[in-house]
Formats: sequence, structure tokens, C-alpha cells
Amino acid sequence: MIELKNVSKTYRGKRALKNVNLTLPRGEIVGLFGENGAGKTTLMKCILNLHPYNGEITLDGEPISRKNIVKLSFGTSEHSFFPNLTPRSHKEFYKEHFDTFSEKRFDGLMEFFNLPAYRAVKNFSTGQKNQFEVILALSQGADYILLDEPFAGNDVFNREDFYKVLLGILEPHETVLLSTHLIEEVSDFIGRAVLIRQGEIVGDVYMSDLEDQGMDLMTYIKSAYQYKADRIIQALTNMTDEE
Amino acid sequence: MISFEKFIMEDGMPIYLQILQYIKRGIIAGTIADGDELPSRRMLSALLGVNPNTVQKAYRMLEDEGLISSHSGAKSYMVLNDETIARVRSQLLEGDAVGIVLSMKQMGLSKAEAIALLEKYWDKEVNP
Amino acid sequence: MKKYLSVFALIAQNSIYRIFGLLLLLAAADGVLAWYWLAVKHYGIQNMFHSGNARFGLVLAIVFVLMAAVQIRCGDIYSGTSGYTVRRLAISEKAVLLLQILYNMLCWIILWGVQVLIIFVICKLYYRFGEYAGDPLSEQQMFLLFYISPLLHSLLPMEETLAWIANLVMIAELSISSAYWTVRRREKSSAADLLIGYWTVVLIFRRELGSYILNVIIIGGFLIIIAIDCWRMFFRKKEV
Repeated sequence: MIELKNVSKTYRGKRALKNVNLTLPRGEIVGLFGENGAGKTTLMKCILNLHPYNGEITLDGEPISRKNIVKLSFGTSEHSFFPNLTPRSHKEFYKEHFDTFSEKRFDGLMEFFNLPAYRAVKNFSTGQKNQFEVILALSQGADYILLDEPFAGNDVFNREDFYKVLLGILEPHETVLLSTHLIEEVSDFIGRAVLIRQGEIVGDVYMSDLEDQGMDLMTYIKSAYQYKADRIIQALTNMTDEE
Repeated sequence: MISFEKFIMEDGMPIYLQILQYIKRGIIAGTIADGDELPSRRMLSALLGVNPNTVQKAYRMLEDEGLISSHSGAKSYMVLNDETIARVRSQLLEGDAVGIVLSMKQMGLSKAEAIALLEKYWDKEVNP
Repeated sequence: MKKYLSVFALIAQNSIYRIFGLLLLLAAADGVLAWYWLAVKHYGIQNMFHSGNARFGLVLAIVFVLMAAVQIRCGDIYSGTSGYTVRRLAISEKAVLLLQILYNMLCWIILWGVQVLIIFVICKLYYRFGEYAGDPLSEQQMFLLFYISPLLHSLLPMEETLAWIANLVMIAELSISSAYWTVRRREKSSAADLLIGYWTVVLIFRRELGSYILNVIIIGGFLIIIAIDCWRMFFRKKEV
């Protein structure tokens, strides 16, 4: 379980995270939703110890250090792979550094996405780079897989395929935290939705609970964000001459 | 193994209920028989692109209704006999009937008008 | 073991092609200079290397500075987006620093070796095809150059152990301080002392035979800097 307790971060005078409290038990598929700049990326990078922060983040009770960080993997639209290396070299490198690396999963996914194993990754298309980044994050053998908007630039068929493959290969103990804008697309796929707005958690709900209440995700999100439906009408009224 | 090729997901109804309904309709239609194997939870969740918990919920309800039996491991099998099939049929039929009655009432039909409507269309060759 | 090797390879592949390019540049520039002074101007090899006007020192200094720049720019595997992956590895930051130091030293030694090799080749070609072709004393003439010419002597200090030690100490200090710089850069430290170190080497490298005191000063001064940097890197620094 990953636990965040009162995590705050200020970045260039702006409060990027405000008193975030969150627990991530094993085995959940969690969607992290928020507008641009809401703090999704910052949150993930704090968990991964890539940013300093105030507050406490623990992994199975221990602070996150070089000893247990191998239990976390990261896939990001910024692409954290080694551009000059080929996928084959990446595989060798990951095998050395991560005991839990699954060669079977890596090879399977490479084949599924049809990626060339002997070309330097910097020469891949953007879509292929995204796919490779995600393959690495999934094959590391981590308990917690953090994916930050991994599909910027992939077409919808690609994404649909990916969700299905993910559902098929995830073990019950593996956890995914997926940050994305594409709320409707992932609403069937996730088990829990966490909403973040201007650095604060404004919603945290299990999909099965929403289902029991008969609410759909978009409705929940709109109410959590206090989305004003008449805002559009008001703006149009102000801008045009209609009454 | 039971095929979900013809399963179409719709908006509005929770997915686990849709899965339940799909199985039940298959039972009534005869395409799903006693002893047929269901896809594993993981496989079905991947096929449909839905969270495993959703599939789990559906399978659990099927188990609670005595329609499937799950062994240790991933395999689940249909457990059907004439009695259970008849029960499922009447369940679904009653459900559909309730739905029809409700929508006719909503439109303001009286009981006599409803019966007349049913009689009119029962004898005709109506294409769905 | 293979783990450390793979990180070493990661450090190397960032800059290895550029370094090969610089070595090629050195060979080409030296070749052009040698052709000009020996074949065109008929300076004679002793004059060429001794006088200092031939600009071999300048070429070496330029390549040296460029190589330093490549090391500093490309040496930090923690930076950039692939840094997100490196920072998640179980290997300690101190281990990575050591590997960086090793790689830097390797680069300097290679530069050193290549420069000496180039000079040998120039000499061999000169004595084979130049004015003194066939002169039985030419072998001895060649080795004499390494005593007479300050630049050549500094590169290969014949019979002057102190100068050898000074060279090694300089290489060590440069390697350590540029590796350490990758850490300090993240803390937004100033690069002043790093640059002073490089500048000093450029200015004082060319020593004449018998520069006893200068060598001692170099050894002493640079060893102190090495000690300070090592202490700050490995004993006082907290894990990032």
C-alpha cells in the first residue's frame, strides 16, 4: 500500500499540492483525473521521489528509498527511456537492474504492438514511443505502476487495444495509477476515480459505489468540480444578443 | 467456451447487469447449456475492456443465483437443469412484462386500451 | 558486476561519438600543421616542436577544452527525461559518481595516448620520407625531441617521474571535479572552481625538462583539491 499523508509541494511560489491524503492499496486500477496543471504529474513525481515535498509518503510502511523504489515503475508522456538505445538493449539493461523484470511480458507486448527490436528508440514515431514507454513500465515487475498521460498522441484504436491488453495481463496484486484527460474512455476500465483540482483532492470514489448510487462518472465529476451547467448559457447570453 | 462475440455494451445499465442479462438470454435461447465453460474473469474483463471487479460482481451474482459454479483457479462452469432454465425464463419474461406495463402506463393507457393493443399485434406478423 | 558495467555503458554512450570526433579532429589538425611546417616550410622537425610557434600546443588546448565541454555537458545521466529512470535504479549515487570518474579518466588517458601516437607517427613519417631519411641517428633524434620540446616533454616526461605523477594527478583532479560538478549543478552551484581547474591545466601543462618546483606545486595543489572533492562527494553528501 502506498500512503500519502499531508503531502504539500510549492513550486515557484505556486502551491502545486495542498495537503494531499491518499491511500493506494494493492490490486486497484485507479484513474487520476484533473485539469492541466492540477497536480497529477507532481503527485506522481513526489511518490517516485523525483521531487522534494513536505509530508509523508510511505510504501508498505517504509519511506521510499533506493531499497524499495524498484517496486514502483513509471511511464510518462515525457518518455523516460534511453533514446539512443534499442529495445533489445533496454531489455538487457532492465534485466540487470530489476530482479522482477518479466521478459515474457516484454517480448509479448513488443510483438503485440509490432515494435522493431533493433532500432534506436529515438527513431520511433511518437505513437510507438508511447507504446514502448508503457511496455517498460509494465514489464519491470513493479507492484505499483504509475502512468502519467501515457497516450498523448496515440489514436483511439491503439488506446482501446492497450486497455484490453492491460486488463488481460495484470496480476491481481498489481496496482495501476493512470492519469488521463480521457475520462469517458477509461470509466469502464478503472475501479476507482481520484479527482485532483488545483493541488487538492476533491473526489475519491469507487466505481462500484457510484454504480450502486446509480450515478455515472461524468455526473460525479461535474458535481465534484461544481460544474455549472448554466455557465454556457450565461456566457452565450452575454456574448450574443439573444435573451 | 461461452462466446461473448455478440455482446454489445450499452450506456445506462450497469455493466455487471448487462453481463448477467446476456448470460440469461443465452440460457433461454439455448445457446448456453449446462456444463459450458465461462471465460475466466481476467479474460472476460480484457475482452470487454472493463474492470475485473465488474466481471467479478457479475459472476458472483450468477453464483448466488445458483447458475454457475466456480472451482479454485479461474474456471467457472454453467450449472443448469430444466428447473433453473424455467426459472430464468420466467424471471426475464416477468422483467420484460413489467417494463412494458410501466411504459404503457407512463403513456397514459388504461388497462383495457393496453389489452386491446396487445391483441391487435399478437395475431399480426410483426417484424421486430 | 554487470549492473555497474551497464551504467558505465550508459555514461559512455552519451558522449563517446563526440569524443571520437574530437580525436579525429586532433589527428587532422596535427596532420595539417605537420604538413605545413615540414613539407611546405621545411622548418625541420626539431624546430617545429621546439619553437612553440607551430601551434601544436594550441590545437591540443582547443581539443582539450572541447573534450572538457563534452564531458561536462553529457556526463550527467541523472538529468533529462531518461534521468527519471536512472533515479529509480537501485544503484547508489556514489557508485554512479565513481563510474563517471572512471569514464572521465579513461577519456583523458585516451586523449593523451592519441596525441602521443600522432606525434610518433609524424616523427616516423618524417624520418622515413623527410629530409633525413636514411640517417642512422634518426631514432635518437626522435627521442631527443621528448627532452627538448616542452610540449612533447610534458606529454611524455622522459626520466622525470615527478612530471608523470603531476600528469596523473591533473587527470585525476579533472575527472573528479567534473564528475562532482554534475551533482553540484543540480544544486545550482557556481562553476567557477571547476573552470579554474581546467584553465590552470591549460596554462601550466607545458613544462620544460627540470621544472621540479612547478611539478611539486602541481602535485601538492591538485591533491588537496582531490581530497576536498572526495570528502564532499563521498563522506558528507547525503543521498539525493
